[in-house]
Amino acid sequence: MKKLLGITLGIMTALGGFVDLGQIVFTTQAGALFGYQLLWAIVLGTLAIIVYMEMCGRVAVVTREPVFCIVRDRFPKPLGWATLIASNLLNLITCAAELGGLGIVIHLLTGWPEKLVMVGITGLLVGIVYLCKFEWIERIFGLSGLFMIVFAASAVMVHPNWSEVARGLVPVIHPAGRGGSALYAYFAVGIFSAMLMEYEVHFYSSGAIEEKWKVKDLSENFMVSSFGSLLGSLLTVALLVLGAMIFMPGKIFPELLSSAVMTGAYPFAEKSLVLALAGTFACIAGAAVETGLSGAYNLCQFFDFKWGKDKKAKEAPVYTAVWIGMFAVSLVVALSGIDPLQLVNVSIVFGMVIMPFTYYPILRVAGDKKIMGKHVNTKFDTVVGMIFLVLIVVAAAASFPLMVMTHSGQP
Amino acid sequence: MDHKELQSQLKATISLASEAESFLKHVAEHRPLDAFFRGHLEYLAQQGRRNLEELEKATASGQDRELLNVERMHAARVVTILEQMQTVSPDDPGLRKKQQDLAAVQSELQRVTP
Repeated sequence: MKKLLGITLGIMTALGGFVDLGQIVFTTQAGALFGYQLLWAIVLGTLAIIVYMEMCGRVAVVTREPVFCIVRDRFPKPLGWATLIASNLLNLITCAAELGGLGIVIHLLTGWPEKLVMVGITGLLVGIVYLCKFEWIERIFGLSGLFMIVFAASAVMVHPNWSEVARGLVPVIHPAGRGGSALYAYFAVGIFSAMLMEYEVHFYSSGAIEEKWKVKDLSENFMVSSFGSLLGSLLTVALLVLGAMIFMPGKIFPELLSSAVMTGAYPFAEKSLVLALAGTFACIAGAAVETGLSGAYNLCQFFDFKWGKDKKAKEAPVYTAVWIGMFAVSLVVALSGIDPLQLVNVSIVFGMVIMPFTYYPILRVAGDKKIMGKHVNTKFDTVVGMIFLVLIVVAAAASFPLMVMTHSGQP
Repeated sequence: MDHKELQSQLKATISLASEAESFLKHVAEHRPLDAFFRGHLEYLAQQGRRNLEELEKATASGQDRELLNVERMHAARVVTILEQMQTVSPDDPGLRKKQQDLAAVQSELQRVTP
């Protein structure tokens, strides 16, 4: 049973990364504009995150060092500093966006004022993180995120043409639909990159150490990273299908979280809307916790401060102060009235640009026989890792020009 | 605002009207939570106001000036409809009429789409 519950680390990591505020709206928009033609980007992103999540879990278990210790040791100091600052800025922007998203979800569920809700929810999340041990945090957010399965059920119930869906596995040069090739490339790059958000591997590798995984648990590492990512991927596919089936025929470009959430309940009645809202809440809250904690992990690992959720606040004072500070600053940003979806757009593009600096050191260490011993990457791992790293670099290089060309993905 | 931006704004208004109309169709079949009904309409109206603000700030020349005026008029109409709907319940029989109004806005805007 304990092994089974261990899988919640993978579920929380993947749901918080794949099905957060930005991805929910972004993927629905991709479906609304291009139908199923971007399905391949989801598959590619899923394979890439499975490969790298497994790799960073393995590195963390064998070396007892999570990702940011590797960044510190492998990069020249200025580049290491730049990666730390950029990653934590990304965590902060994303956390603020997620808190804004939580305000929207509760407002839709209860009608309570958004800003008041944001304050209350932030207090609740800080309370949960403060009081619960790491394994309970991942269980709470991982398992409650499973409410999102209502989106998968909804996607099946709207009866998509499955052979057309399957055709989406092949990329096209001249896409059919309302957008041109640049817009298609923007959404492809965005979907691929959003699935590889840095905070996923930071959180996952730190989580492996928090959970005291041993070398004998490495087979579980593969299962956890694959299962969580496949579940996240399935839900992302469901969002794409729902976007295509519900919004594409009416030439609707959904720009709101409420529009995307509604698709989860489309063929059903009121109760499924509550489930869709609950699932969305859990995933967005999971992403907020993931980014908040990742900020503290990154900083403490970089400067070698004591860290760990299961340590008392007095034993790891910097770690505790940083994650609480992450939530506090994010709340101030969220309360300032900036549209959370605009924040998310910024975070996705910003995340793409700094992505190679997270994944390159993981690949190098995982392939170093002196460090990894018999758990070093196989040739196959290295080749696949290299291919995905090249794709990550291409996506990083293309992200900013595509954002400018398409006015941040406007049709 | 150049011709391309005007077209993009036009698409945005058509999309908003179409989304609101499709939401009302859905509401007629599956009654949503009251809070969701009002909240979603409130967010749609906010989006409509943002579009309208852009159009009101914009200037255009030549033939585009006429198109800009038509867009402003219809964008304002969509916002008014969305704001009016926030004050009623999901069961209100008047929503059928609003649905027709939104469909009319779409077809009029599609007619002027270059």
